[in-house]
Amino acid sequence: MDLLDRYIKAVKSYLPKAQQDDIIRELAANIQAQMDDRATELGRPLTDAEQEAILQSHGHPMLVAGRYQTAWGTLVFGRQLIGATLFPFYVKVLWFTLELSLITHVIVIVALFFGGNPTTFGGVMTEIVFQITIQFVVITGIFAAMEQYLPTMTWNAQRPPTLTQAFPKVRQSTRLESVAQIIVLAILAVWLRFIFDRPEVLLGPAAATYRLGPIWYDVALPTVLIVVVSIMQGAINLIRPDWVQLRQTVRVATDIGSLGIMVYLLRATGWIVLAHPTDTSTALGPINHYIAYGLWIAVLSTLVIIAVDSWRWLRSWQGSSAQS
Amino acid sequence: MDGDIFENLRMELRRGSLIVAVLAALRVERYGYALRKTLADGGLDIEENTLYPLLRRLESQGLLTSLWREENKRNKRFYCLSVEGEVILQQLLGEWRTIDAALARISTTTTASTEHD
Repeated sequence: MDLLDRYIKAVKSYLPKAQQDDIIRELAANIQAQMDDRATELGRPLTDAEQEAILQSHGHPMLVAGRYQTAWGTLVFGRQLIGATLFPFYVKVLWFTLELSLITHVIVIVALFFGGNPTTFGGVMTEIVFQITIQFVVITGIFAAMEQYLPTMTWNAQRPPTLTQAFPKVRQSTRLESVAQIIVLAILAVWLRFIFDRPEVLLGPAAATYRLGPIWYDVALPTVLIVVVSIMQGAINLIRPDWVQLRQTVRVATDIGSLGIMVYLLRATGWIVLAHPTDTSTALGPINHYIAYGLWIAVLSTLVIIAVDSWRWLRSWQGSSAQS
Repeated sequence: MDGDIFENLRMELRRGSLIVAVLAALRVERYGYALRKTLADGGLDIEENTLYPLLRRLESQGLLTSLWREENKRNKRFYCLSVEGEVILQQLLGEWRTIDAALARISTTTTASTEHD
């Protein structure tokens, strides 16, 4: 495969499916004419370096493809944060995370209801708005940073014509990884069940004074549900390791579900409570204080994981679109 | 700062002019790269990434027609001004001349009054 073919394939992977073939056929013809013209000027065929120089002058494939996108719009806050090239990808990721958030919340609410812990409409709306706001800010921030980076991107002619110019390719999981995932999650599910039934195992000698707060039992069912969904995904990928999109979609969904559980946990003030209400303990305050810190760190880490996994999901989607 | 302002204004000024130039140049059938060379030879450089999508947009608006044809043993997409495109081009050129004349009058009047003061 020559350089032009590889460049054109890279451009194709960023184009809307309906127009891909028509656009790349014309673009290839124009670039080929430019190369022929240059070769005629020089009186000899072009070297690889000369061909690459012409291709580089056209810009990074993502930028080239972006110019052909229908004008979806841009995001402007004072100055343009996200331009027309990235805007369609930005909207896609936002919609995806929004839909998953809503679906996950519905599942969590149903699970809480059947677990005997119905929640109020106001509480649910507060959580949804909180999550959506955080997701919007984080995703917008990532895309705004990419927008700054985009003009400096150059096409790497040495790499194969995949979507790896900007981010590492989403690879298939091996069967060994799927087996490991199923085993680890199965152990986790059993351990969670065990801990919820007998919290003294987790608390050790402190179980005489402390016990888990009631909020942990509210999230038990959704937590187990997330683990079960992940086990099912691992089992499917064990049979079909090439279903990368399924893996990435489930990962983003479970990430968002985990975030929902953490946000719900943050509503509590006492994650550890006294085993006997008449007792007193000076350590109880600091213990809950550190748990709050830990939960906030977990929330922030999960947001980063959601951003990374959303990108990978987008890449897996683009990858399948480029192959088809 | 002044350079940035000038560059932004220059780009705005060019944007509309380029469309008129493209339509005018396509009174003769041309393919993308040949059109770019024609415009560059005429003193109007335009990036490939701007020109090629612009051609598709003008075609979707009905101002251009296109067909694939072989030239020098290579298939190329040739664009040509449509009947509707010719009408629009005449209107745009008329508007261009009006603006040009108005600018000349305003510029002359302003220069004269500045010298008078």
